[in-house]
Amino acid sequence: MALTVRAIAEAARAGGDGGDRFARSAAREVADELRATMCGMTWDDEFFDGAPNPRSTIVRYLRFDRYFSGRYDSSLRTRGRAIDAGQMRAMVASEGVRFLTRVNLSYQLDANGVRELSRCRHFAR
Amino acid sequence: MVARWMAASRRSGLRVLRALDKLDLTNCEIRETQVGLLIRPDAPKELDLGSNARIGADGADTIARALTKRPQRLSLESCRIGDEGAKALAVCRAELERLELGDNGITDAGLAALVKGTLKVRERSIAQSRITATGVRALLAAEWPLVELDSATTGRRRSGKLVASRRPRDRSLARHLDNTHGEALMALIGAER
Repeated sequence: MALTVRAIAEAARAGGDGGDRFARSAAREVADELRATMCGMTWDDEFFDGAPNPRSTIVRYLRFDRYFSGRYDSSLRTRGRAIDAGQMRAMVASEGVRFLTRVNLSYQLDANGVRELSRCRHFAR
Repeated sequence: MVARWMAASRRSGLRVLRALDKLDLTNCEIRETQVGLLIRPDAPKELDLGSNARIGADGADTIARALTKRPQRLSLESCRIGDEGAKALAVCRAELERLELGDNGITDAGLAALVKGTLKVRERSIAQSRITATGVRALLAAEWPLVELDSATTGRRRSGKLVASRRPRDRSLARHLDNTHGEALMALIGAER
């Protein structure tokens, strides 16, 4: 495969319409299992806020992590954010979730959150 | 019934989860009354509902009534479904690639129902279940393609680990037997001889 995940990331960083177009085109060439699990806390925070970064169309697997070791400044960090039904409602209302194929919210949601998630209209192909 | 459901869901705009390959909702406080939200014809291919202890036998009954072709892989580990839940699932007419029922307090009675039932599954896990030699003999007779039995126990833990060379050769019954104890283990070894 000529295109690498790094090349796509660099194109996305370069910004501008050309960078976005190239990133989108390149992303189509990348197998799902090679795609980013999480691009950073801010990226998935934006998913939960219902306003995902347009460039997160390359993301297939959204997983809520609470503990990070070595990812940020080589230190251990814990995340204070909790996700609930309101945030699920916001997330699933956004068309930006339609590119996701795997969602892992284990140990994070309560039953009300699950109900809101199950109402998402954008996971239908 | 499925066609009616699909028509109703199209009208309400609720054809929603089909594009997901996997949805992991382990330990999300899902209740028996709520599993119907997730077990439906447009469910993800793989659905993990493990450690939702409120699902219970009633939830298993709801699941059994709703199961069709989706999800193809379903985990109900540690959901307290018990023998009653296993019996409810056993009479379901669905076909699954994989079903995980470990740590649900299933005994020989629940296992017997699964062996005799109509539910078709390619891979099963009944790890950490209360299965005795009787249950293992039922499994051997059933000749299911693959069953995982890790830590399946009886009241008498008298045996150690089963080494790879003593695994059943042709039946492909048990791939993961490392911590299977007691009479169940002896039944497997006996079957091998």
